[in-house]
Amino acid sequence: MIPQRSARKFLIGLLMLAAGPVWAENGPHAIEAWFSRMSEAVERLSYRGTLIQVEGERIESFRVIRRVDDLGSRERVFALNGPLRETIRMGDHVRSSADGRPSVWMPSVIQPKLMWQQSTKRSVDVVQAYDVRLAGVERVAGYWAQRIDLMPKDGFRYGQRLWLERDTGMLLKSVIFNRDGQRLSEQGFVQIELGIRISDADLEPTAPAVAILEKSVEAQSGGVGRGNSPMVGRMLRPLWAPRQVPAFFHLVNAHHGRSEVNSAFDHLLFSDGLSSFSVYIDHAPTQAIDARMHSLGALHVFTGMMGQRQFTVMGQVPQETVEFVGQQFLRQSMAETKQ
Amino acid sequence: MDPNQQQLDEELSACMDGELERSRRQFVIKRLTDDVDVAERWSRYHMVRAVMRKEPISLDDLSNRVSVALSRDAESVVGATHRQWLRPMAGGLIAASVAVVAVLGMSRNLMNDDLNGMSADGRGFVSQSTAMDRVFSQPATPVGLGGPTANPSGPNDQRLQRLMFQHQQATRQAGIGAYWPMNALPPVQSDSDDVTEETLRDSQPQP
Repeated sequence: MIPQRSARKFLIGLLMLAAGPVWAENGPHAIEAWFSRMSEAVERLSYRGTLIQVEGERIESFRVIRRVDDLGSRERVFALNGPLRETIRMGDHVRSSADGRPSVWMPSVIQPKLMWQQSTKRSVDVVQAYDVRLAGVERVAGYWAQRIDLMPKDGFRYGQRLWLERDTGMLLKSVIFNRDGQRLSEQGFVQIELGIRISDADLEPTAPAVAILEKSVEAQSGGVGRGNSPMVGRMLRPLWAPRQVPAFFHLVNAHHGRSEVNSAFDHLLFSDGLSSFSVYIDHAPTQAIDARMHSLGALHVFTGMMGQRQFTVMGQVPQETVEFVGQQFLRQSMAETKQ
Repeated sequence: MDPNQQQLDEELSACMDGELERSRRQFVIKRLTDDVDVAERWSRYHMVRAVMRKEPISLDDLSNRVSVALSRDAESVVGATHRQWLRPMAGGLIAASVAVVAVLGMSRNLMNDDLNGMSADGRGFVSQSTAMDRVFSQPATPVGLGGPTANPSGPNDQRLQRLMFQHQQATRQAGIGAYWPMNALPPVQSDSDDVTEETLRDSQPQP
């Protein structure tokens, strides 16, 4: 028996030795390392490229230019299809224009991130909610790219597939798919030049700037994301929150604000580190509405009334997710009515 | 010209107009992703089309590049573009221009611009009643989260689009999920022209 046991241990040891490198390659640390490289690349690289987005039957293409130097970052993004739409960012100021009309520079409290930057903490969350694996090297936009597959562990979130440029970690392409493997949206560069010198002319906006507005974009848009907006650890205690959310989602931001017509609302942001949904609670809706589900591609929205308040649950998550959360409010409302 | 190349040109053109059948579109997208030359052609066609449609593009060297592109492709590309791109606006161009991702559509809506009559409904929001409608029997009149309350073009869609944009901004600030450059368009107030003098200073921020 003892020789058999020794042989078994020996074989297990051999298997572990053989599997070790594979696990190390696909383990959480390897994934986090790739996310870390991606964050650094999208922030520090200068690049110029054309990217397309495919969603359902629709295809859009865009031109993207970003320069990072000692003076900071400058960005220019404009649509190649349809009417001219353009956004320019210079440091912490941003402006957009449509059809070449003059636009106003506005301070933006959102950090100048043109692309996804995955924080380490969020990466930890991601590996809890998704089966993550490095799936090989493929060619994207002329570059060799590491493919990363993120398979959802349940039906409350979509899966994603990412392609990161092998040498820099630059995000080149991503695909969102549902549980059945059906592709819901795809976005990626079809041509990109990485680490190049970007001239001032490349960044020159089409539309002239008329002035700088001393008021933040986010403040005008309804108060989300103010500079002093409460984040994790110092967020506001939400007055209303769903009693239950799908596994792995947790509250990452709570914000109480006022809209343009001075109507108070709460905004809660839930995330599993990769997918997210928002809950808006309007305290003074002008009229009551029916409970209703809206969908636009991978985006789902569930709206309804909770007593005298209106709630809206939305995000690029499956219908089941927003409905699950919305039902919490509806049940809460019915309980209040019975009382 | 190589017949295969000519066919690819035709398909690129049709793809840009949103007129390519699904299976061929997948093929073109694959080629766009895998082949830098094809991607560059795609980019160049856009520029050519923009020039033909007199859309403002301010790439500094664009005129030179377009001239080169036009002369190089005078027989094939421009011929194709005339066939494909100079059709009445109600055709494929509208289809292509409507082809906007959700958040960009929202950004556009927030910009409150006039996009050739593209209605909010045209962006494809699908709304359906749920079983809960039986519980709440009030009329389904949408309300605004502080937005315009009497907009005939669909206040509910506008409201949802505004909320979605805010959601995107919040996720971006929190460093969550895939954020792509085309989602960067921030809301621009339609009344920006009414900004008072007191709120304005120089027209160029310091980097």
